[in-house]
Amino acid sequence: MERTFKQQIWMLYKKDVMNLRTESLLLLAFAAGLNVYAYIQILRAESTLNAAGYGVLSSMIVFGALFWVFIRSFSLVSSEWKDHTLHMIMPLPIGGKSIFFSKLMALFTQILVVGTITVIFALGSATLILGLDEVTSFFRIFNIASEELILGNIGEIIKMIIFAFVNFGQLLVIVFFSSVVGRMFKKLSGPITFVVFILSNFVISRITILIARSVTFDSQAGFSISGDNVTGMETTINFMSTPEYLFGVFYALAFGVLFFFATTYLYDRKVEL
Amino acid sequence: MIAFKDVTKKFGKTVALDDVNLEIKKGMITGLLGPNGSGKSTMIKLISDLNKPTKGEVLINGGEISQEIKKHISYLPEIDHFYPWMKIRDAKNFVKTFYEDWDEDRYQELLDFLELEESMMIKKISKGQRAKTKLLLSFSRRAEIILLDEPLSGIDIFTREKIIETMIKDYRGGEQTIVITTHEIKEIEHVIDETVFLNKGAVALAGNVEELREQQQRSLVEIMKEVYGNGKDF
Repeated sequence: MERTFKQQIWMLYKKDVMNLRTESLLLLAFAAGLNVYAYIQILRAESTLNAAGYGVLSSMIVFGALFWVFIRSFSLVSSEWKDHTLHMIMPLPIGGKSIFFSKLMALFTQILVVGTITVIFALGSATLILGLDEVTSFFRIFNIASEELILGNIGEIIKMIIFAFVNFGQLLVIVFFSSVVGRMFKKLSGPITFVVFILSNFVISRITILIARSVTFDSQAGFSISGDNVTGMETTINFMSTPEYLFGVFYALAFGVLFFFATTYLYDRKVEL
Repeated sequence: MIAFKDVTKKFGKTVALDDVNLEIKKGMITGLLGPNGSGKSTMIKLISDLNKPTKGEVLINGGEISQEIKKHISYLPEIDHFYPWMKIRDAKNFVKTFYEDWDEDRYQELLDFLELEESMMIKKISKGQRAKTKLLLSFSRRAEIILLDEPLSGIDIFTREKIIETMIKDYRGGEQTIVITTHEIKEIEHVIDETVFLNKGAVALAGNVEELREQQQRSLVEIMKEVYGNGKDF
């Protein structure tokens, strides 16, 4: 029976998702536990944890969970060596591109699932504590309903999500690259991974800054969210100009692709057990 | 045919293989024998592309090891290499996705023969059962080249017999090449066609088992003892 490339990628992706499954569940359980703890603390009259404190805590839970996913991306690569599973992967008749693409997709899945559920936890417990009106007022930058604000700016929101994903993807690819470089050394692979990661990010930021300085951005053109404010005047919040946005996406993609191919080249030709 | 041409493999300052020239014949069972550190596993890993030669080249049917060639190689490592969440069924589904030579009927037959169950969680089964699982996945493929790295290591006598039976059960002589590394020479002596004795990264003696026995009028174990100085290196 002929095995299709799609089936192979799917199997690799499934394997990586399974590798992340237990800890994703633990992470979600921990986030849920913290939210419940905060809820109980707020209900107690003598508690010092007020609504503002709760807002800070719930945001920390969401960002903490996402930070954990980022940290975990290092071990998603290095555990293949540590657990000897590379003996299963390296003899396969597939290249590094498939292997690292599936890892990238699995980590994106974990980010989506963990990010979405922790936000739901935070909003859910905030609604229980403060009431729905209070919670929606947090998001009422403009004097219109939240759904109207979202639907009216859906294009900009999608652009923001793309921006976040491309930049996070670039970061994950650099993690893969530095982990593979680190694993090429039998000794001190951990510190080498760390140094390569820092150096790679430093080089990328220097190059990006140098190029950005030579380009003039139109600060008026908008990557922005618009709507009427409380006084009825139309208001626009500019996050960054369109050229800045395109510049950011293009360079994150370009460096991401470059480091991805460098990683797969090293894996295919230099990595050994 | 698998050919090692002037192959040297170093790990840092350690020389695992030293300028090895060797041909492993197609369609035969070849035993790579030798003490620990003699270079047996390194040879297997070079064939399966887990290691790259420092110098020289490893060729399979005249070509360098590529993804196309890897489709026809089945590799059984000495260590446990399964993901902790895998049941035997998961490992099967994983392996069969990558190889067109997967034979489901043979898999079912071997599953019964080796007394394994698909629902078994690999990390929870005994060492002998894990060795059988590795064998199950290797021999459920109709691969042209099967590489077995110490399949009998640390396994009880009954399981060892079962493993050897599995090896020869559906072996397609003349068509399929099996390369096996082991210390358990007595147990595989009757199975192997060709033998390569390795010592300190070099080929100490190689040849057809029958011819060696006839020439030297001794068993393979006795020949081996002489090669390694009465087995003091083992």
